[in-house]
Amino acid sequence: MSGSYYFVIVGHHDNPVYEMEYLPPSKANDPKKDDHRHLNQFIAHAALDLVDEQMWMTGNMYLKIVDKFNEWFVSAFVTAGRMRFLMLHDTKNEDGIRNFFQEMYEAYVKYAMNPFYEPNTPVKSAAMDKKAQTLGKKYLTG
Amino acid sequence: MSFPDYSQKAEDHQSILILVKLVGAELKPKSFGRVYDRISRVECVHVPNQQRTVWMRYKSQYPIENNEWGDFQAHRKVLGLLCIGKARTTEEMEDIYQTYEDEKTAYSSTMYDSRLVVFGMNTDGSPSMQQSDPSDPTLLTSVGGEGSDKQGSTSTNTVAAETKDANSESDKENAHTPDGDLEIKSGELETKNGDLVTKAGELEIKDGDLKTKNGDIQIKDPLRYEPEETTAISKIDSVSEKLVKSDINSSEKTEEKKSGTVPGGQLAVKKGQPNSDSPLQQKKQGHLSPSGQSTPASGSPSGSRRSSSRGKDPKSHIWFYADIDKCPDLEEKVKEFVMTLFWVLEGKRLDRSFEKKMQLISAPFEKKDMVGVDVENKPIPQRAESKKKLFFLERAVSTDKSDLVAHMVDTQKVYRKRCQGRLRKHLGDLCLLAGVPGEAILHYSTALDILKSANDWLWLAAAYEGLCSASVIIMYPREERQSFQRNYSWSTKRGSSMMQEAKQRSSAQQNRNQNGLDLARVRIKNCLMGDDIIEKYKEAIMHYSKFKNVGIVEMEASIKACRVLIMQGKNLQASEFLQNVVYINLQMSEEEKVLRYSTLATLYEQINFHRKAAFFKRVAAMQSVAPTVPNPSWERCHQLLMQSLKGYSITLDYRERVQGEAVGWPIVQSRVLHEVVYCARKLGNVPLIIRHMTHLLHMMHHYLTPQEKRELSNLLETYTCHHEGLNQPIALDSGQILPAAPLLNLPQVRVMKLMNLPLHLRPVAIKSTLTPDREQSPSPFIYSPLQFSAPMGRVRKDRSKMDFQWVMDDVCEVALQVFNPMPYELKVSNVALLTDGVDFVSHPSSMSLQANSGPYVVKVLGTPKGAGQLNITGYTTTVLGVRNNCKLRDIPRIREAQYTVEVIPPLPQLQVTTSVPRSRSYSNLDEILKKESAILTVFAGESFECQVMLTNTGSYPIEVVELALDSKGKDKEMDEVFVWNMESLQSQLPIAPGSHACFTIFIHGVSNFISKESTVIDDKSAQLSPARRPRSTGLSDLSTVALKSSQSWNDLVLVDHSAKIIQATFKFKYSGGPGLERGFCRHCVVPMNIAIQPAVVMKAWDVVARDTCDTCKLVLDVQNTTDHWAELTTGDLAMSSDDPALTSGKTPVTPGDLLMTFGDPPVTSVTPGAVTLAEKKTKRIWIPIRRCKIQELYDIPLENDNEDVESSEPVHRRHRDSLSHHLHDNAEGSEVAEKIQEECLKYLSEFVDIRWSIPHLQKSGKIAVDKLPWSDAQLELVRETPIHWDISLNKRGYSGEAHQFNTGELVQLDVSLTCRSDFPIPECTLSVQCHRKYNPDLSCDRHVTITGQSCKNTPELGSGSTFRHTCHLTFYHTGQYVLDITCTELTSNVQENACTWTCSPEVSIDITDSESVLLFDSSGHVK
Repeated sequence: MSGSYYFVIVGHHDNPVYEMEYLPPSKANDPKKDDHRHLNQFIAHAALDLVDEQMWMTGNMYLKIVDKFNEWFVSAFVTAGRMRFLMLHDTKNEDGIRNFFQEMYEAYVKYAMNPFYEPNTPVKSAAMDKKAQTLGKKYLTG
Repeated sequence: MSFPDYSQKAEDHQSILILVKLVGAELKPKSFGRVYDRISRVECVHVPNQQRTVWMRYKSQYPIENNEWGDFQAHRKVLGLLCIGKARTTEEMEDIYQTYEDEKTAYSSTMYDSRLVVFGMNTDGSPSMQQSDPSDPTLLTSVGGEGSDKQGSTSTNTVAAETKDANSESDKENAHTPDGDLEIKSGELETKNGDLVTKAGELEIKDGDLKTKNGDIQIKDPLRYEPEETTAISKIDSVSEKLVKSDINSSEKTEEKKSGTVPGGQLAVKKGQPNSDSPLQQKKQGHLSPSGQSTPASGSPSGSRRSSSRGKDPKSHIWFYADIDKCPDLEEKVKEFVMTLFWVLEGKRLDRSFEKKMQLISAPFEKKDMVGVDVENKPIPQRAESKKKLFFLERAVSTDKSDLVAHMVDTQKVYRKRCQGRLRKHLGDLCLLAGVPGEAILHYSTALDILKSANDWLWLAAAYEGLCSASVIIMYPREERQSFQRNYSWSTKRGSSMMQEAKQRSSAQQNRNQNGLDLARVRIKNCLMGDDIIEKYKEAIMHYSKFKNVGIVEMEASIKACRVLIMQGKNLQASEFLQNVVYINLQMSEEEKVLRYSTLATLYEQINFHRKAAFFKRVAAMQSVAPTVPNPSWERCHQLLMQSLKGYSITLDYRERVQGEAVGWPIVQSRVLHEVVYCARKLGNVPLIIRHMTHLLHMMHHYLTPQEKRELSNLLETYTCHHEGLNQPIALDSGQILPAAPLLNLPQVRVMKLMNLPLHLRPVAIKSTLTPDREQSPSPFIYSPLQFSAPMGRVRKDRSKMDFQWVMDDVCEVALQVFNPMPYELKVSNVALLTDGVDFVSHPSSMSLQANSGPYVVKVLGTPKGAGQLNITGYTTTVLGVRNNCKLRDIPRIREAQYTVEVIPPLPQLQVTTSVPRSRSYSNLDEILKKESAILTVFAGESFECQVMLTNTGSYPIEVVELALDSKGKDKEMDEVFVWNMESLQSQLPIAPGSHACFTIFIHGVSNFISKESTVIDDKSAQLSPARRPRSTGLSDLSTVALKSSQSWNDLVLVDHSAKIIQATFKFKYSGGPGLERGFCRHCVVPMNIAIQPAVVMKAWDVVARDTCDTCKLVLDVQNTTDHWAELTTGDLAMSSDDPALTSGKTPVTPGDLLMTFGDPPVTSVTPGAVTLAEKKTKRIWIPIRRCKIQELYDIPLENDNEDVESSEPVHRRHRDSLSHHLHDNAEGSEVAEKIQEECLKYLSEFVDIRWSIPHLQKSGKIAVDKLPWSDAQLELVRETPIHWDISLNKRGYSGEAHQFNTGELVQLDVSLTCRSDFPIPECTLSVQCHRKYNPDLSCDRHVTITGQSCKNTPELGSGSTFRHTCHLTFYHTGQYVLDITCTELTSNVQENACTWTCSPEVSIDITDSESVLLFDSSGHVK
């Protein structure tokens, strides 16, 4: 339960809408963090192909692990509005990720209901950040 | 095997591998490439008379290591060798030949046949330059031999015969041979072969026990085709092979018989080749016959064979061509060559002799383990790899010596099975190559069964793979390449190309089924269908993965499977296989890794996983320049990165970007672009660096941090300071084109506005005389909502089209509203316009914009150099040293793609200067208003001369000038203020460029000279009609005026004598040159602001009748409003009231006599004709004037008259009427009245000349009396009546002074009326009434008696005629009396309208007692 996670919501134009990283306390001050961030994003971007392909194969929103690269697994979740939730993780944690996705989806839907929010634009919300942090602690790193 | 072939396809199992090599240094790689392309286009050859097709694939490089894997998978071995070289001389030829031989040796273990293609020689093999100088005798003979083959002449036939004799093998390339018999034979042979094959197939299908059948066939085979194929290579090969097997059986015997070559001793050698002498060589060459050297082997002894092969081979195996472009039969020859290969292959396939022999075919890495092991008995110890799952029997055997014996029996069984299984598998491979996949499947299935039981996992995997390949080949038959190959990469729809191909293929399949053509193939047992293929592939890969050394095979299998899936359109599954490839751990060189990643990327591309593809492209790019790579290839890195851009949704063409919203992952994008930039910097290609940097700056503008922007910009500038960034597309070596990346955002232009020319340069259409009429609506209605003439679309106004014109050769202006979005000061230079249509010269400008600021308005100037339509399509800038062409259509904020303006032919330019200070031509109206302060001050009544100079500052002559006055005031007044003479200007036209013309404008200080407070009085009096006017004497009038005036003097201080300001503009319309021909002119506007300041004003004014009928007096209260002394002088007409000479009313008056003052204004000393006014002081002056003669009024014809000329009424009558009714209310009357008034005023202006001068200011002017608002009554006084009254009392003429009589005295009044006008005076009633002087309302009836008629009708009086009337008056009381003598018109009209003339002055009579002394004089004062 103490792997690194990188969570991203990807919009319809492959544009990241919301990003969040979860590092285990031990790695929080890793100097390589910055390098990793780029790599994470590259992997997440490449995994979109598989997400797009796999979402038609199943009726579930949660697609489990769709891709992997080196030590990174990519789990995905596709919302009804075709927003893609991706999670990069280096440890297997299927249930935790599933729950995380589910609750994050709820939070996202609530946020998206805001009439002032234009879909597919970056989410900037302290409440969302807080929610994501708690959920991350609860299901991922905690 | 360490060199993976990433282009492997399942179909490759079917293709004969031919190595096409470049030999010698003469042939350039490019030319070789051309030849290679031509050859590789020969993809397949149809075997004549059979339903079989032989497929080929070509390689220009093939590592020998890979070739060694040929036993494992037959398609990996090089079967044919084509060497291509160029030679001009025999020496070169020898060189090439030597290389060719070397190549042959290198691949001799697998090669069946080879050819050498030589360019640059004559077709007969002789050097093109020198026909014959053969240094090598063998070559010469070979040349001869070849020539005979080719030309087929009679003479060469004999040679051919010779060669046949010497060595019958020389002709076995039957395709060349001119011998008809041979060809026919070969044809027969082929048909027979076909039969054979089918037969064999049937047999096999029918019966599981192949061995016996095969044996039969083998017996049959040689029998059948031996007669024809006495010289065929393949036959010999098969023979030799059989000999090798050393199991002397029946087949061998037959063989011996037929060929007549019994290589007895050699037969004994196991696995040895009959054609090779040394056993060493045999070993090297392996058990399979090397075709090249074995071909000539026939019955001849080995030694002679050898020599003959040396001598013969070149002849038959060399194709000579003069030139690369002159080898039309190259393809044909390649096909023939392939056929020879095929026959060898076919022979091998059909040869089953070795089945009897227990021989284990093995993969190269297995062989290493075999060294020193007894081949006969020992199984090959398979290498147990890291995959622990497997149980490896061999390993157990080798480790545990004790078990070895125990297991020996089993082992031998296993070994046997393995041999069989592998052989089967190998046969399957051969069948595939030979174009019988159905048969191959059978072999593979058998092999699978055998190998499974033998636990031979590696070969099992290979068999699976073979089975899959064969199935794919059957299920998805390849189609021959069409002349035009469709490029599927063009199709844009996701997955469409793949699906299409799969569909095409499967539909082709279905068609065949329906036609019943290839049903046999489909029905072949064990043939795998769709998903099964993939299953089996998975299995194969799973087995492969157990062995470390076959990683490459595993990878290739994955790739093949992936390609099959791509074809089937199963993208997701394909991606799984690709994923597997990533995890196959191989010891590879960095180069290989790059290749692997880029292959992966390509495959991902093919399954439309563009993002994945981009990912691996980038990984490959990074790999190619990884720190561990000794010499990083930045070139390649760049190329790969460029290819990956698309996957990251980065478009190189900024235009695509403009429309769409933010697409892609900005951080990833900017990272990749940064990497591209870095890569380009490593490459050192400066234009490329600049292009990439501008691209990055533009595309990622919104996502870059200020810091990054600053860094990028600085970096960019360091490059551009040496090398300007251009805006042309850059072509990369890879053929990619980098379009220009203009910095559209630096600076941001939000608005572009074309400016009209400045007002004075703006062209205006000269309206022709016809146009006004036309412009008026043809409809009789003033307004109609229907606009028939206007086109319907006019409602939508085209904003890109300007509604004004520009003029050729004149500087025009475009305003840009710019913002600087960058966090630093932005210097923009070379801002110019992009235009098309008309030649346009831009005048670049520069600007410097503060960080993060805007908007700024920048004006870009340019000059059109032609007439016509000018389109402005964009603008150019140079920012950070990069030149940008920014098209409007690419700028999202500007909707119009271009702005259009019409340019008209050139017009001249005029500059107007005037002598009035600071009043010159201005560029626009605003400026005029701003400069309002520049006012020319003119005192009322003053005149000013303004010199106007017109200068032609343009380059075309001014041919036409018109001048119009435009002002806000009343036109009439303006005409008086400004007076000029146009003719003097017109005479100076045309004005040549550079020269000038002058004329003068006179400015008059026109004013009404009224002091503000005084107007009230006059208004009151003006309201009274003269008829109602209280009758009073002139004196009484004067006194009232004086009284009222004096009252108002108290307010004098408060009065503000503000100047009257006249704003007028002179509009010069001028034109000339080509612009005039097009009907345009220009307006030049010169504003004039004139302040008319009152100098001397009237506070009050009146006309006082004098004693005589002919004269009257103007009484004026004159005030000096200036701060200086002023002098007044009167003109010639000034009269003195006291001058007795005036009484006659005829004599002109001496000036200045009369000026007198009264009332409060102190009397000043009067110089003759002049009066001095102190500052702010008022004086009253009198000016006696002669009355205006009535005739003078009539001199002016009235407009009405002209109309009535035809009427019966005589003209004069009309005049009289008009005259008499001039006060009436009807329109006509008032009009006439106005006219008359005008005339009166004119009379005043002409004859009353009062001038003022202020010596201090050296100013002088004239007071125009006519501007005063005279009342009608006053004017009437000025006018002379038409009736001349002659009154005498007691025969004494009355001259205005009161006559004295006594009470009771009879006074005789003689009234004589004379018509002075030209028109007759109508019938009137003359009445005489008397009343008290100061009490007009008091009845005088009791004081006076009129004897005679007090009223009398007069007849109509003609001009000059006189009417006399006499009556008598008797006064009873003393006092002053006045006689009112009036003459009232008798008309049929209402009485009120009747015209009345009153005798003026009134007749005053003083009555005294007969004794008493006169107490009063005429003025009423007591003396």
